[in-house]
Amino acid sequence: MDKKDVWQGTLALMTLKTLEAMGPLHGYGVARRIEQTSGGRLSINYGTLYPALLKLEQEGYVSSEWGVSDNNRRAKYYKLTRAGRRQLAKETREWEQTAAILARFFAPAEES
Amino acid sequence: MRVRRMRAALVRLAGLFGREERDRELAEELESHLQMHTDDNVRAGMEPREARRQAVLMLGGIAQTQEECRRRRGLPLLEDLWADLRYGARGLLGQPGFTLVAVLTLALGVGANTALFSVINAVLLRPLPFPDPDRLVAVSETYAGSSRSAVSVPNLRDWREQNTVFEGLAAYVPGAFTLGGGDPQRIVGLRVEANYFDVLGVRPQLGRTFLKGEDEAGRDKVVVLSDALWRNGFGADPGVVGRVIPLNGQGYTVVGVMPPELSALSGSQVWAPLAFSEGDKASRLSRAYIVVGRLKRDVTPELAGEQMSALAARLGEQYPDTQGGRGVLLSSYEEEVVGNVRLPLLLLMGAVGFVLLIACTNVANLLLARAAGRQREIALRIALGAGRLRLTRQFLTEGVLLSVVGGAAGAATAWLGLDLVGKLAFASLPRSSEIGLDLRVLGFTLLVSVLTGVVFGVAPAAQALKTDVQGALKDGGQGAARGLGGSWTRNGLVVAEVAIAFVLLIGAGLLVKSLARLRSVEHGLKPENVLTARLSLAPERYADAEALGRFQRQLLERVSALPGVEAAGLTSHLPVQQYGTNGFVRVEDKTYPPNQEPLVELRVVSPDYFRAVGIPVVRGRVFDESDTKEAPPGVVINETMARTIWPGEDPIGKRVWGRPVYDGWTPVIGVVADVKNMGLARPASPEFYFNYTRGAEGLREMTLATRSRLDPAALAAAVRREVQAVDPAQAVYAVRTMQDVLDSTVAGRRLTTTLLGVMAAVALALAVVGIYGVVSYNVARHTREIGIRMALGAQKTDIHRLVIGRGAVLALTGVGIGLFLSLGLARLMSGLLYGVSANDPATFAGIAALLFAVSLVACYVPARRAVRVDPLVALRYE
Repeated sequence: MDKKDVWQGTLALMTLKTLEAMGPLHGYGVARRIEQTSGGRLSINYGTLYPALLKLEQEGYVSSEWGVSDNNRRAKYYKLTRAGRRQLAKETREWEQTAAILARFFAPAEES
Repeated sequence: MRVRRMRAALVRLAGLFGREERDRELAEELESHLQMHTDDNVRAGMEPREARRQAVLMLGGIAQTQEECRRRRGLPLLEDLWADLRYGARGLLGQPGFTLVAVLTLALGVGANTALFSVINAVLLRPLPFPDPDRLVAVSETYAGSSRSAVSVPNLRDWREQNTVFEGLAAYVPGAFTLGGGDPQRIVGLRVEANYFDVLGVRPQLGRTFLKGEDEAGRDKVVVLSDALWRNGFGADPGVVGRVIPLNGQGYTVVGVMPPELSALSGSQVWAPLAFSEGDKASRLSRAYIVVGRLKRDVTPELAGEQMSALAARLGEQYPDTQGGRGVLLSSYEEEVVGNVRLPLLLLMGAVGFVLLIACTNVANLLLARAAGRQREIALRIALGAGRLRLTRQFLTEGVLLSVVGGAAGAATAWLGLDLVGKLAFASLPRSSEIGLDLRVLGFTLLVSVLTGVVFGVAPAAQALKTDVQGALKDGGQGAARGLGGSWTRNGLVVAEVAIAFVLLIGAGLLVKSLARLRSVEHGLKPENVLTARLSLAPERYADAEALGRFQRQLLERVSALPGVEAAGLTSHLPVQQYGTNGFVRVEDKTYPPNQEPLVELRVVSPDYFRAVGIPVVRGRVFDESDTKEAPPGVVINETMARTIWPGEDPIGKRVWGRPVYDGWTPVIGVVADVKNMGLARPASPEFYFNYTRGAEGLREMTLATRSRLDPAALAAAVRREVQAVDPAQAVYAVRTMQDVLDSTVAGRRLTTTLLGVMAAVALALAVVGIYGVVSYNVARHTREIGIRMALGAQKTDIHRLVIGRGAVLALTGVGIGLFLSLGLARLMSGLLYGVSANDPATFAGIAALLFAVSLVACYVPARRAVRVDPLVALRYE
């Protein structure tokens, strides 16, 4: 993960997680879902999602194909690949570790 | 993770293609996104138009998203490069005049560099075609620590037995061979000891080399052919091994054929075994053989040198008469082969490098002028958000594009040039047949091209970085104009050009002066109407002095009787060439410390030789018909010998004992004038002449000199005919006029001088074009300023003075810097100078004046244009 680009990395992780939870989904759906999941606290610029999806596709974590949406609109559907699942598991683990470490820092000091 | 990155990079590389297809797909995807969003918004109760607007807002700019995806899809660096290249190419094609001048200038500079580098690559850089060439050394005897001599057989034997540093030592000697048949052909070759090829470490491409013992008399009628002789003389017949060929009138069995590299190195066409004569085996004074040795692994040349010096000192104690005061010198074999061409070649390489620098400077100036014309464009692009770094990269790309095109043209120029003239011009160099464009040369060309591109791309880029955007946009493109003087960068470049041209001109001037000095040296000969021809009488056909003498007398009688011939004589060595035989003489009534007797050049001549080449008799007499073998002996000496041995005395009648060849006290019968016996560049050495009828060995390698009233060239056929009349199987070679012989001794020097002269001329022309270009450019850019000055009452002469004065300041500064540089650089070439000091004031003054005058002329043309400016038109200009 590029450390300078934390937002990009986080966005990629959220995208992967969304695709895992929802199954194949188009870009708009992914954007809405991320927004909903964050409880509206995370307002993303939808446009930034597409370069992130492109990057994931280039790396082979997602694949895409054209399909038809619930409302009969043609849309490009993204789906997690096996490599994507593995990557998601790995990143989730890493993220949890990082979060745990940070949590200790912010926890009230324990007397030893 | 790395694999994923690589995969992504590959996908992105592929993304460079099919770009429109992907753009369309992305546009569709974004459109479907907007539609779905709009649908949702409408369902949430918005007006359709407002719904669409909100969707677009949330997406945050379609163009940005598209651009971001585009960047992510392909490789932006590569795409930018491609765009820059296309943009640059369009720009260059749009200004064909500018492009042509720049490419031609570069082709000239890069071409000259490529050509010369290919020569240096073949001659100096490529290792000798032997395994471990570093371990090969030339071993020679030295006398009094300096003068080198060849080696005698007993000494070589002692060296062999007592050293522990050499894997092997082998003696060889250049030999002349006559390849028989109907039309006898003279070829050069070497007589070598049987282990010669093992010491060098070369294998034959066909057959074998010599076996142990084949270099002994009786078994030595075997020969190894060079690749060239095998191809040209024997049609590359693989069955040549085992054939008997007529060599020197005898049958020699071909045992092997050497690979081509070996003849490229030495020029020899055959190798025959070297069988030492009984006399050579016994005499330490018969120092006639060249020795090459291969050092053992792990033995440094220094260590070997120490051991051999110690050995020489031991031999000196053991044989004080012959070896006292003599040492041993080891020198790298490569140095022996190419040593004396290194300095001229490096000098020329330096010179072409300078020419390239000037060419670069000119192109940089052209680019600067062009960039100045583009200032508005650049300012506009900066204002529109182009990064300055990005602009720099674009300028560099343009520069490199230009230089690579120029470099390709240069490589083609070099290739053509080498093929047409270069190979001939450099034919006298060792290994010249290997000259050509190989990968290393082309790599060098590419490197030089790219470097030059960067060098002259930097100047306009730097200029662009300084662009004052507001000024440039406001001022109609004239924002950065700085008055009639022009910009510092451009002026600096011109000054550099003039300085470099000055250095080159000084180099050429000094060499030209040296050559002129050498050619006007008093050589002591009258070369007009003298024809020379060489003959080499093979021991197989002319066994002893008697047989040799018979042939020589008959030949002289016949040639002297030819119509128009005034005198015909034979000599062992023609003067002026840098080789000969020398020896020590004992002088009656004079004692010298051991081994410090006078060292004199020894020549064997026939009586008419002196008249034939025009050496005047100063005292006494020279030989005549009465000096037969039975008559009392005598020697003729030159003035230098008379002066050094008997200063202020009459040498006639004094007796000398020249060893080793002529034993016994011999009176001096005459003194002749000096000739330059050791080459034009060196003073005459003491010399003594023996009559060819004397001596046990006879005269085997000789030159026939014939003075006639006719054109000497017309005599050549007649001389050949007379040789054939005496012996139909005898080859005559090197048939040249005496003037040619004199000229050929300075041929190498003339080549260097000519090449450097040409480069200096090119440099001068380029520098003049540079000055002219900059001054004209400044004038053109300041038409308005000139107009104002004239409107305010400036006279034409004022404008003249102004423009020429500015140019003159540039030229003078350049000359001054060049003078300073030359004082240092010219010293590097002092080894190539003759009769002129490296800081010769006349040359320096002359070149400075020439360069300055030419620069003024270059300024004059634009100055004239300046005064023709019509003030009214000028003020309305722009």
